[in-house]
Amino acid sequence: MNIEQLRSSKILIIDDAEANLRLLETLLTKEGFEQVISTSDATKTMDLVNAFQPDLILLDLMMPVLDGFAVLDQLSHHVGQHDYLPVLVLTADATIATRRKALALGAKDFLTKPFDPMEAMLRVWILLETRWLFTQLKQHQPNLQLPGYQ
Amino acid sequence: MQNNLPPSTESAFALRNALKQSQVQLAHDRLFERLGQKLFMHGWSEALLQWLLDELCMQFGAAHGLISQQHAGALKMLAQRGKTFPVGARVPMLGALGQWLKEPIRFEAHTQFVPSLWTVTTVEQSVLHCYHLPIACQQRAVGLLGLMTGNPLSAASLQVLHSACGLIGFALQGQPNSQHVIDDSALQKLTPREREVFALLPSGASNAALALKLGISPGTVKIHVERILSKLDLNDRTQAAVKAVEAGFKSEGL
Repeated sequence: MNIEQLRSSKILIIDDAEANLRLLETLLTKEGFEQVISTSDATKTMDLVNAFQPDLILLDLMMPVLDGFAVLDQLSHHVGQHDYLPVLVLTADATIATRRKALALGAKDFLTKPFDPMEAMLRVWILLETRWLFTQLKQHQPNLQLPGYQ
Repeated sequence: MQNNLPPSTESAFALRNALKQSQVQLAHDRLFERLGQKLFMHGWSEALLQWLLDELCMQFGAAHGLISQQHAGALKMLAQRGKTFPVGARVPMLGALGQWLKEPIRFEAHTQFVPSLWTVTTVEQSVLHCYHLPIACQQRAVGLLGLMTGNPLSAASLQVLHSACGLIGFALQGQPNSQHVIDDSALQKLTPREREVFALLPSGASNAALALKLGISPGTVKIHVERILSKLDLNDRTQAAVKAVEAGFKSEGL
């Protein structure tokens, strides 16, 4: 696995709080990720996913108009059945019900705010590595049917 | 999938399915709430139709979609998204299309790919799932809704699409599109004054009231009505009133 290849991964951040967006952007930039796009308007998620084709999504849950659960639901319709687009959920809501719901709806990992920045970035690397392995597998065996996102 | 799953508290698999199902339901409810709000505030319009199609595409992960209306043996595009023909384009209703829209219309989705509706390549088509749902009102063909998605749609999603088709059918049926029903050549036979009387018939007013409105005598109105009935080959003024409504004259009070 080439670290430079992983660093060129595209990361999309969705959070209605500008301060959180700035914090995550700073953390990701320090890790060497250059292709980072963020939005505070969750209703733009699908347009951004289509235009930007991210490798990883960092998603807040409590947002006005469209919450993170609704975004996860929309993603489940948009991401191919045998595709793997990891979503890391970041939320201040630490209840068991919320954690269960986010993971059930397709989140690949879950962190509660305030989170340890180091842990968050470690999880980002892990998810990107998994995504990279998945795409490699797909390249070598295009017809491979995996349980994938759904 | 098995139906006799253990209660959600006992298996993560069942919990995941239950939570997914309720989230899908929430998304559907929100869509209909927003549609209701828009209808309530602004009423039906072509912009609303395009909005609805965009929302449905968004909801169900469809890159391509269309809403079309049946008109004189063809489907006319009313709203479109992705690789299909532009709004206003007409597609002849041949083959499968004609079959699906043969009355009485059946309440079901068709998944056969129809090359005349879409401009996707065969490579794209092989990985996409096609859904076509008849738009109808009282089992009478009004049009067709089409979506092409990356993932197959669930039964719940198809239910939502069917509901949307019913709403669209009802709304489009109310549009002043049925004017071709009336035989215009018959109306040409009427004199301007007779046409005036004809237009007022849907109000149900008496000869005396019509006379007052037009500034002529009730006897003259009576003669005009008789001539209208004879020229349009109708039996009574009720039939004439119905014909006038079909011709687009509204039943406003005098």
